[in-house]
Amino acid sequence: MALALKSSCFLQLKKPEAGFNVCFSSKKAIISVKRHTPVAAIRTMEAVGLSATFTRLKKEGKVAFIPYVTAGDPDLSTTAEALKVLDSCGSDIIELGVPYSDPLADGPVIQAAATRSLAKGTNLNAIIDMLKEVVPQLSCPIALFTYYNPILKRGTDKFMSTIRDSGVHGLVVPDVPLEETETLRTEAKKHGIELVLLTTPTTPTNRMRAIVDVAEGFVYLVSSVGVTGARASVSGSVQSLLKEIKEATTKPVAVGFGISKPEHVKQVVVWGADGVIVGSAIVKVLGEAKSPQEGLKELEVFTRSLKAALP
Amino acid sequence: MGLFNEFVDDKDVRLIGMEAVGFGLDSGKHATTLTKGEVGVLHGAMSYLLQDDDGEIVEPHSISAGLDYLGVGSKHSFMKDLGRAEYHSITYEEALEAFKRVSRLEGIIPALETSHALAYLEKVCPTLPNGAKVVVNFSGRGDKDVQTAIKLKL
Repeated sequence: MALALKSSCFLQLKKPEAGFNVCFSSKKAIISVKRHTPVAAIRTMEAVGLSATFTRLKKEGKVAFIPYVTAGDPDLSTTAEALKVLDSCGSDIIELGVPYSDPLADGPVIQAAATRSLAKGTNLNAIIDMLKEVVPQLSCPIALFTYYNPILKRGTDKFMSTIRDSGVHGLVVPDVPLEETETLRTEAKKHGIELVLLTTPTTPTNRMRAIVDVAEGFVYLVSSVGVTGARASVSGSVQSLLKEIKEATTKPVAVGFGISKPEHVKQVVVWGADGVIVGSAIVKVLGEAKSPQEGLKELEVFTRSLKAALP
Repeated sequence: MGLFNEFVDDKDVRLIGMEAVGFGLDSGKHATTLTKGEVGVLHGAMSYLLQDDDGEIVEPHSISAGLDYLGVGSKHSFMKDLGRAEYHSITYEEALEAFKRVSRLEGIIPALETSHALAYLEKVCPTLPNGAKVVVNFSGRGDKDVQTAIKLKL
């Protein structure tokens, strides 16, 4: 059936107008075409938000693939290309890290990437300019990962409107305590930004319930105690944590921190995760490549192997 | 909060805190979070921070490790806002001079952190009424700082 649909779409492309009509009649066909036609050629619709993405995936019985890259490492033009590669490889959401000078939630790989990026002069304004250019070419939503201080510095209202205007749909702020998220949530909601909240293996149950109650987009489950970075295996406690969180909420739960291999991805899916977040392993591919072009090629290969591990 | 803690409720007791200027307030190499910092959030806590226009943290500079932290305690920030405590800055030359003088006069080697407070005595004492009592917090040992002091004096 899938093959037939693909074949049908390809044939129809010879008659552009008719082709689009046929493609829009099927969600899968739309996805299929977007994956096989030059991305820049299609600007038919703005990406839907995080929650809507998870809703669609749930209906399709799929688990979200959420890669993370650090903006500006090795440079912003490579980041722009990386976003397109990740999108074309089937990412459902992409997390874009704004480099920060004191990234306390991040491990050595992402810290080093942030340091390299900042040393090149990357700042939020440059990232916003890049996003305005790239987001219209993407089919999946972008969530920004940023620390709290740059938001405060710019002014929360101004920050939210700025990122919304650049096409960003979601926001992850790892260093803001739950009690202080009220202002952020209010401003985020006003601008149509979904504020993702994090819960960890050490979060007490009652606090976890309070967090998932107000989380938007999805619940970010940190899989291990500590910072981001690859681990040999995913902690077994994630299984019970997932069960516990799912008893507390119907919102989708994505697991991150320490996911670096297809085997990790499969494991987490079996345990019931709605999404899988991979960061350091991807940042490492780009950061350690001999050249940006080579990095992008390796990124594509690696990303496809991770995506293939998902249903 | 240390020594301040015991005197916060005694309104007639003036509380004075010192910060390290390092090479000077306008050099960009100093650690005066309260004097020059702006409100921000670092490590999950809101306080005064040295930061740039993008909200990126500027690394502080001080000759003493204890005064070299990126931010400052939230209580100190609060007391500054309340006006309950006042905060001033001292250069490393002034701190080192105080270090030498106390070592020579009292036979006590003060920590470099403490030396910043001792240096301020030179400025504040002439402004105090006769009979005023001044308590200085000697926060640690200075023997760990002797090598630093020697190096900086060369």
